[in-house]
Amino acid sequence: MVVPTAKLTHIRNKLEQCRNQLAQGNLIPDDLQEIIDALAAVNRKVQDILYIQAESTALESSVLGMSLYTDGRRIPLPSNRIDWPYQSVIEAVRDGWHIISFPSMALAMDDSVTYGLGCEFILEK
Amino acid sequence: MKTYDCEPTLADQQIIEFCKYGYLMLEAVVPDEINKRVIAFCDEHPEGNPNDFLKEAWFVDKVLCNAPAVGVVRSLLGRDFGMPLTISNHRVHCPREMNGGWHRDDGSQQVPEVNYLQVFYYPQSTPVEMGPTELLPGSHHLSMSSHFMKHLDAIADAHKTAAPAGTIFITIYSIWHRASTSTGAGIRNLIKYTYWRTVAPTRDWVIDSAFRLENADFATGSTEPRRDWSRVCHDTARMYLWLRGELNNYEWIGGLAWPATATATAVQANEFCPGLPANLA
Repeated sequence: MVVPTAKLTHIRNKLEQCRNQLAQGNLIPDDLQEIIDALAAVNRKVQDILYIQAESTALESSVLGMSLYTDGRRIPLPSNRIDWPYQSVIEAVRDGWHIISFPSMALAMDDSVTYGLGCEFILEK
Repeated sequence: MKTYDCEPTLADQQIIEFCKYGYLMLEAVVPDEINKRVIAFCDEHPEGNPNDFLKEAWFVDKVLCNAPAVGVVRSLLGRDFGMPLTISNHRVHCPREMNGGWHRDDGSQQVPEVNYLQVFYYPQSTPVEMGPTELLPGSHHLSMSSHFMKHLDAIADAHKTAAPAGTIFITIYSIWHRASTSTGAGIRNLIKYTYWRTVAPTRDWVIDSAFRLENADFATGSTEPRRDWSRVCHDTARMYLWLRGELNNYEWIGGLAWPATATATAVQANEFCPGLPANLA
């Protein structure tokens, strides 16, 4: 598992702070508890999710829609498509995302109705 | 229900454009003094359904019977259309962050019929910073329950209805839409109401003598990647012909036949137009 740099930096800073407090004789249990809590958070595995609605079932086809959840939160995306983090599913795969759901072929059974927003892929990290 | 009648303002190709995209914007059509009065009334009636607006003659006259707006409504719903029965206000305290939120309003149907129109009105200037409603053009032709679109967020070609004060926009009820994030400060009112059809559909809008059905443009160009191009033309033509009261005469034979635009534009006057029902020519 790759630990986000920001979390490691936060823990390192807290440890340095505790070392200084120890040297000054004012280290208290609550300071150490903060580090214990931060380490527990690092070990907690939070699944990042990326929904991509694409023009076709091809991984190279253009993206029509996108929703991104990281660290358990929805991340706002820019309005303009060219500012989105990926322009195709394959770009996301190259960036380390794993596809966990492919477009449902059941929707192709009735071509008299257009369902939804294109072909939806769901990816995770 | 009270009814209203006036002269229609749209001609055939404008009706077709509405059928394609599902909305039509009329910028700054309500006078400033009325906008200010509406905002003050909203401040006094901050509830979600300020139906007391319906008792105000000035509101009925200048907003609900606003000439440019009812001209469009008359074109689409026919004569003696029913006036709004309720008034809603999506009143937002900005700033506000919105993620997701795409939906079709409750009761949406996937049909070519246009028996009512959902209308929105901004009494104050509503730039992007004030979180205007975002619409997905053409989405009234896309079938999906609102429950299955809650995970959607950024969508290519979605249109933010940022507009000056006094703007009214008229939509097909089932169009996908959502509130957008606002970064500005203050209150944004969005008044919403519905007009109703009372008569059977018929082609009694403005008739342009130069209009020829075989050459009509039913395509949306490259801005609609969610459906096949021929499908876009067919969906548009189906809704347009329903509005003419002539849907029963139409049978889509597919391929590049009418209403596919490339074939239609290649047909000369009085030539055989594949796919165009003879009784509609």
